[in-house]
Amino acid sequence: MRMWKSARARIQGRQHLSRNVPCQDSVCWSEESSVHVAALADGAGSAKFSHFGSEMAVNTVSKLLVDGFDAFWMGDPQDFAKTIAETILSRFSEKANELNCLQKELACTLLFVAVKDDRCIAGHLGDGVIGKKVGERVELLSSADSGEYANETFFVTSKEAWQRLRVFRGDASGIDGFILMSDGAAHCLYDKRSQEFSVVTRQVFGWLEDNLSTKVSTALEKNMAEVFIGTTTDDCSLVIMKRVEISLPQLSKLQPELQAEFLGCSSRGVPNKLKFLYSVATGAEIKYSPSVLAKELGLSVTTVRGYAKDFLLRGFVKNNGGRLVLT
Amino acid sequence: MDEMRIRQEDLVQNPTPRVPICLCLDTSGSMFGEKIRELNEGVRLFFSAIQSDEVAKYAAEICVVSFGGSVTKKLDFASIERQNTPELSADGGTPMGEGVKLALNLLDQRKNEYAGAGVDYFQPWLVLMTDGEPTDYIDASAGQVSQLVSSRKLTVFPIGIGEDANMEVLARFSPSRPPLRLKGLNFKEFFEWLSQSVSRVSQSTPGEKVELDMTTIKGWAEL
Repeated sequence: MRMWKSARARIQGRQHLSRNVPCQDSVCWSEESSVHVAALADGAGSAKFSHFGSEMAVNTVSKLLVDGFDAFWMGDPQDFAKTIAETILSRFSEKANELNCLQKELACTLLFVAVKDDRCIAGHLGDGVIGKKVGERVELLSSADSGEYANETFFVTSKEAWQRLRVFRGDASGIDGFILMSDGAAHCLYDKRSQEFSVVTRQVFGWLEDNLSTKVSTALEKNMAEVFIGTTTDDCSLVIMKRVEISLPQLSKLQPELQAEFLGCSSRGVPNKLKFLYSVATGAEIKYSPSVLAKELGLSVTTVRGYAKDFLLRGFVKNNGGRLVLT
Repeated sequence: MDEMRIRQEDLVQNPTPRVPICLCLDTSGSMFGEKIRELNEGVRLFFSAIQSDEVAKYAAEICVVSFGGSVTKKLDFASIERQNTPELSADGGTPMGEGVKLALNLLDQRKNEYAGAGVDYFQPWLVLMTDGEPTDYIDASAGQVSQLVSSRKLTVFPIGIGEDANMEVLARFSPSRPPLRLKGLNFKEFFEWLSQSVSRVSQSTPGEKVELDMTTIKGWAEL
């Protein structure tokens, strides 16, 4: 059985702190309909409302990918890039009217990765870095696309931005994780000259293996506020997503809070869900019948149907010719 | 939480993005005396002000070209901590065209070195100061500077020293804003303003439009 876990954090940089400007980076993680989306946007320093822009950009791209992953996977990457840029700009137009400002006041970069089953779609516009974890190595997936000078880059509001939005599609079966970082975080974690990532990236992927996502997010933010801030004056943001594979016996031995996170329920719901999975594991040869399983587990038929639907959606079990089997 | 700790020494060490600056200074015979003394003092203050700025001292890289009789590279680009402020002396004619040509070549070479070494950099700066008018042909270098400024590949600060500075000639090097005449011999005030401007630019992030502090210009320029 496997799942995607995510942690994310953002901090206000020293410069914005001293000028009382909010953190202009936004991060987002969405999971719906078997699609897992990580998104990050870095608001332009000169754009007054770019903190709103970055938030709208990550939310918009996440929804587009959750709703249209399969269509984007099949379609022309250029059409996909255009759809993303145009949809974000259309949201910006509404927001600009509301704020009575120009669209460029909402300018931001955009980075995203979406995974469904073993397929991934990634996109990158402007600066920042996207890495992928393959085995023990963290490798470059996409580096910054900026202008010649250090304070130049491309934004979703730039002219013909969609042409600058680089789209990657590929097989994710050999990829254990992704890391998205804003320019500020990349300054601390990605060596531009050697194109290597800091050991910290591997370390953080490891944290997700053994800890609750919420705890990792909190720890990340604390570390960024204490350590990154000494290295860069810029806002910093990170989103990491990690594929976690686990067997049923291993799951049974985890701390209750981690079991609950893995099974997507409260701690109280863990025993019944585990019973369900054990029953699936031992009855792999038996045709799936909600009523029989409900009786066997002492649960209502509705509950069993709900578990089956949820685990099918999460990919923990699959329907093998009418029989449920663990993946 | 204690086990989830990032160590400062595990972060990568990306070089600070650089601001290459070339001071292209008139050291012709007419600068002799108080003018050259004040210019030397101003340049010393510039180096000292940059060194005392936590961000600018790692970002700013300065070279100095003098044009007085001949054109000389008085100081090549390097980290400011490894540089000694040059001592300028006044003599000869004013080969401004050749001086600017050398300055542009040095800035271009430095940009190529940054690119080759994977070091990010900001738009280069050219500071052109004169108290008179050129004694050589300037069309080519003025045209090149104008073209670079117009295509946003160079920031130029043309500064006239004293009443004899030919501001019309200086204006040919600056298509976007008029040259400024130094108030008296306020070199120190100018270089202090310049160092603060370097600091602002070196801290700018992508998309940030850096406005120069025009309010303090009146401290050194005749407006």
